[in-house]
Amino acid sequence: MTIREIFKNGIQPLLIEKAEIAPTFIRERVIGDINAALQFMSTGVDYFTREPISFSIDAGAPSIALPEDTLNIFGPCMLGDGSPLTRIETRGEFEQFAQIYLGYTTAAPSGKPHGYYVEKSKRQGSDNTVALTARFTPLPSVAYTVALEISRRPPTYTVAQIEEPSPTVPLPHKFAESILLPIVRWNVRTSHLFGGHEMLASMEQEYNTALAQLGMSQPTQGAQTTDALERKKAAARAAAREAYANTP
Amino acid sequence: MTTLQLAHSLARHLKEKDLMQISAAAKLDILQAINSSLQTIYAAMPPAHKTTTISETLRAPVTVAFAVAERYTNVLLEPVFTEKQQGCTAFLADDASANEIVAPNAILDQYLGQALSGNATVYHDAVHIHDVIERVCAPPTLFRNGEQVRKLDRWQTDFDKLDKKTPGTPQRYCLIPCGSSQGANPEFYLRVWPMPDGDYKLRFDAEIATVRVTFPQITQSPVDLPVNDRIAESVLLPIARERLLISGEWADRSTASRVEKDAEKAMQQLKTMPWDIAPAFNAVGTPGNF
Repeated sequence: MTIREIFKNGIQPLLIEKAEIAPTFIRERVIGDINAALQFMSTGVDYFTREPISFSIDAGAPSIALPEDTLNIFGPCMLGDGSPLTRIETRGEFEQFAQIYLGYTTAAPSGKPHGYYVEKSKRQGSDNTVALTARFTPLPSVAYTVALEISRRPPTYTVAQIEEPSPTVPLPHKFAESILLPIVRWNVRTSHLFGGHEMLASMEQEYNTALAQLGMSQPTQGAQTTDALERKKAAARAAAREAYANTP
Repeated sequence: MTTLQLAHSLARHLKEKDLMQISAAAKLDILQAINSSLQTIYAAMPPAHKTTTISETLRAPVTVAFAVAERYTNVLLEPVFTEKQQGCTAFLADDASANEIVAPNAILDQYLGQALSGNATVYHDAVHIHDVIERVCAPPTLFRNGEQVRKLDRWQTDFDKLDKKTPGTPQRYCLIPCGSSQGANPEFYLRVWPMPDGDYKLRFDAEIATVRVTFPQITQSPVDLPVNDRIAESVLLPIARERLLISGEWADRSTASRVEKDAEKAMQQLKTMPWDIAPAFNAVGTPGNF
């Protein structure tokens, strides 16, 4: 589904039937709501966003900068030979890793890394990103390939991308209709042009169903069992009941 | 059972159940639980399961050159002794009294000779007993040219009466503490008397401590645990689980009492371990077939 299609769906609760006649401030508003929905989804189930990356660390190289748009680091972190690296939580543990965990009384000589520490700091010269640096200990004695699983920030779309050719929003399983659209419409409802007050209850029902699906759409082996489907239906029914109960 | 299998089994009880994803600090909790359980098991294990025969060589006396900075000092100018000679008896130049080597460039007693340099005769009468040895459990035996020479008797209180200057075939032994409370290594010397006059092989049986599992062994380089597989799940695992209860990462505190009961049962089972794997030999009473 393209940004234009999502936009056209998002302006319906504002009682605007054609994208061409939507004023600029509405375009800006709805694009913002679409971006907000994508950011919300990126913090949900990790498989929507999980992505393997790999990079090389040279002999003696203490650290490497992770991609600028990294949002979360899931792990596991593995060396090219299949050896896992242990996550180190604090800077203090990282600095004294060899003494705490490997039994050294001094800093460990360079060799095969055992642990990694992700340092977070403000990226210099930029106000919207965090600099993530992966550090390794002991220092690698030879070059290694490192594999890590991360999530990236969702793409931020602009008003210009409403026009053709409009980009397709990357969503696994094409869950745009069942998850993304209900969330966008729910976000749009706070606009002063919102004209679908009689639809509010059903919009909230759809929104809650989308949330339930977001949490239960797990591509786990065996998930598509009767039991899993029943749980999904039960969650949707519960969300609908709550939505109607809260309708003014 | 390997170190990684046990670590993974323990990790299943923590908040983060994937061993690969567990933080280093939580892995340290697992490591300590494993080592603690191994130490507990081998403290309670019958001696037959932790005894081995150790062989050391008592070398013939050697002569080395030495120099001291000034009279009455115990610091030698250059390292003249080897690490293995630490604890051995040495006679230095014109100092008639026996001295003891404490480091490659140091002796225990102040040097009372007149010459600032000369030759030292080193008698290899001390064997290092490192911390891996918990107890010497049988009298040491001497071998020479492949033949058993004699079993050594332990000297008790009469060491002062023995002639400590004449070498010969060792007849007695004693274990001399080195101050392990200050981190001394070796912890003990096994000293023989008289000082050996030639090369001898010395064999003795000792109960040895269990090995320590290391951090890399539960992460990248697993090894077999030093516990027979027949008690790995029934004894080692329950005790290790109980030791892990102290971890702040333990997920379900409601299981604590069950885990503790399992550990108690495991300790009870440990008491049923056979004292020896050979048939019992009761030397008290009427002999068999009498």
